[in-house]
Amino acid sequence: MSGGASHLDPDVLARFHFTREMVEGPVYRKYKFAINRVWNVDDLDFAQDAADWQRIDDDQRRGLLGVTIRFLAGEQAVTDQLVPMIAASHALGRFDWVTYLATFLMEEAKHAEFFMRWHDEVVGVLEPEEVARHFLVRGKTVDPSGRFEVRDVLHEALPEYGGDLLRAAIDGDRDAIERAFVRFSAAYNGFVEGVLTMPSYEIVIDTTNLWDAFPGLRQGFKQILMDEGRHITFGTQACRILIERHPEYEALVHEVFDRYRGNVVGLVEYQKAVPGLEIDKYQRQKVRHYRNRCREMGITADAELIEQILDPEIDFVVGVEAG
Amino acid sequence: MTLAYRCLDAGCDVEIRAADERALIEAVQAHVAEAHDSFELEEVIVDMATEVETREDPR
Repeated sequence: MSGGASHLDPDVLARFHFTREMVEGPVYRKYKFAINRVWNVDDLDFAQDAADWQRIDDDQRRGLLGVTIRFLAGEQAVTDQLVPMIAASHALGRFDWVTYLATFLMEEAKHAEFFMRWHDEVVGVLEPEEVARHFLVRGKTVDPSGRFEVRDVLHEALPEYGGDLLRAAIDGDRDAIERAFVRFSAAYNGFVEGVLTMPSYEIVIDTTNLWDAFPGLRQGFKQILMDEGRHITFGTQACRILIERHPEYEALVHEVFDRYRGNVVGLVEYQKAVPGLEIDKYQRQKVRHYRNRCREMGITADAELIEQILDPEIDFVVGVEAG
Repeated sequence: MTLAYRCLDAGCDVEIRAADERALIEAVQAHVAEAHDSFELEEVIVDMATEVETREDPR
């Protein structure tokens, strides 16, 4: 090989995206990890879970389903809402992000499949009208002090921020794409995956240990958590890259967290649904998850939010009914 | 060279050190399980691990 690139057609050069810097970089590393650690729902055995479902009582069934049905809806939502991030990564010329996000989307679809299969094979519900009746309704979780509003960040924020991001990617204005990317990723990877949902994983794993039951559910959760670690840190790392170039973007992250503050300062209905758990620890853990996300993004944590997460006087009243 | 990771649990801020990435993951998981009855995601530990200089023992 000889000669420089100056004589090459730039249109032809632009058709090739791999560079040594990219292949040695942290995002490509996540792609390789995902490829090397692919797991299959078919390899999980739900026979013991099905037997366990028959032996637990109605309160236990209601409590466990309150959490797992949320995951069933949530994993379908995040699968459905990821396309804007891929479109925006393409528009920003980040082939390493697009490459990694290909594994991200496949994994979210697989997580949705896992919950679909578990509910079908263990509980015997699959059709929308069969599972929807077990969904705990958010409108009945209230803050008696009236200071905080508990909103449905997953099904409200992601479509809104995702729509903004997709429109920005199509319009092609780089500044608008970056701002919309930070808002979307702060909501998706930072808030939903990185803080709000983490206690729910622990609640389900602790429940299976406490009841000495549902080994298939526990194993699936552990596999999903391996994937989620990459998802969360991809998003926060992307935000860090954008914020390092434009420090004013940090305010966008705080805006998103502030808008949905009510969802993290207390435990919401499905997180209180399983009987027999010591639930205070799940609230305290949110501080670690929140501070982790801020560290990964290279931003300063909101001290007031941390105080509110730890404030025992902030306790939501849960008067939920499924359906 | 040693790897270090700081636990950010409420009121903790303990720094955990280990000789390599695998040992650091195990040490952080042990700390989070024992001190906080919880677990940490591997990728979170790996991404936020920092290299720190270690002084040779003069003896």
